[in-house]
Amino acid sequence: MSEERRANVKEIKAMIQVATLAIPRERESRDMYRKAAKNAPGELSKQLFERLAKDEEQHALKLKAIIKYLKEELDRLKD
Amino acid sequence: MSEEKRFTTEELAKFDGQEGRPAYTAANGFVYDVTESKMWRNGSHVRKHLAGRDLTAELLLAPHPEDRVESQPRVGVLVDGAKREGTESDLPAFARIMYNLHAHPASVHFPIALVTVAALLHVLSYAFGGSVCGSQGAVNFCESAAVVNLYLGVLLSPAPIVSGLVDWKYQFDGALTRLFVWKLSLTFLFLIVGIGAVAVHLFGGPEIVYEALVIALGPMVLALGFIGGRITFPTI
Repeated sequence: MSEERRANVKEIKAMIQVATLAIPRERESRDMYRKAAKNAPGELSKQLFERLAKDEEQHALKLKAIIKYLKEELDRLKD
Repeated sequence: MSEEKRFTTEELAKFDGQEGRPAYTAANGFVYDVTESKMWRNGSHVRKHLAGRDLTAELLLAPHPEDRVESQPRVGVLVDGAKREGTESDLPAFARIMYNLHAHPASVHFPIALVTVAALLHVLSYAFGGSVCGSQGAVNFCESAAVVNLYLGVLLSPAPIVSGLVDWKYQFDGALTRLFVWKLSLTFLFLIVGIGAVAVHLFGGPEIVYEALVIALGPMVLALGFIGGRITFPTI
């Protein structure tokens, strides 16, 4: 494996590692906002928390999509 | 308003921009025509991204805003591609209960503390004999306390191991990154050495082997705790 390819593999592995550790954090934030929305005292706060929960959900989905793509790239580099 | 053309990933692949064919690309569930785009040549963008493919994930890593592709003419929807908008499927009931109870962080400290103390007591006993904990006849109280700590530590270890595996599977999607490979390997080693130490003690095996196994467990559980900390509170 060439030096450049080895560096690419290392970088991709680092990105996968960080994205993997970040997903539960996004889910925790989502769950916290969902709970806050459920217990919200008014419609305005409920809407805000629901929107924030949805944002966190999308972050988790983005991270999952990135991991999937990076794993494919890693397989391609290792071939 | 007429309904948009629907593409499958297989159909999209035919629009690869090669040999005069149109170049289509997909992002976030929609298909765009990039044939006339100056940024695309012969179905390729910067010789890295290829037409005829769903580029949703690649766009997230692009050095330009995600909406750059969305400014191209939209020609349809991708029915089986990745979507930015969506909902994650929820955890299975048992994993949700364990997560809500914080089963892994709540249970993991017991074996770590107990086994570390067992190892420490053996080191102290080895270094200072019966003078640290006291002794009565042939009984060294450090060693007796170490046995109790070891048995309890090994006995309680299935709780954090099972809850940790559930967290790993459902919170981290079973990822086998460097940290998780280390954690899984060390957990396996901990089980073997822990059960081995108990067995050697229980069946009256050589004392030196028993002591070596117990002392080896100390750094092992500390390393497991350290890796757990890196996962929970990442220091990148």
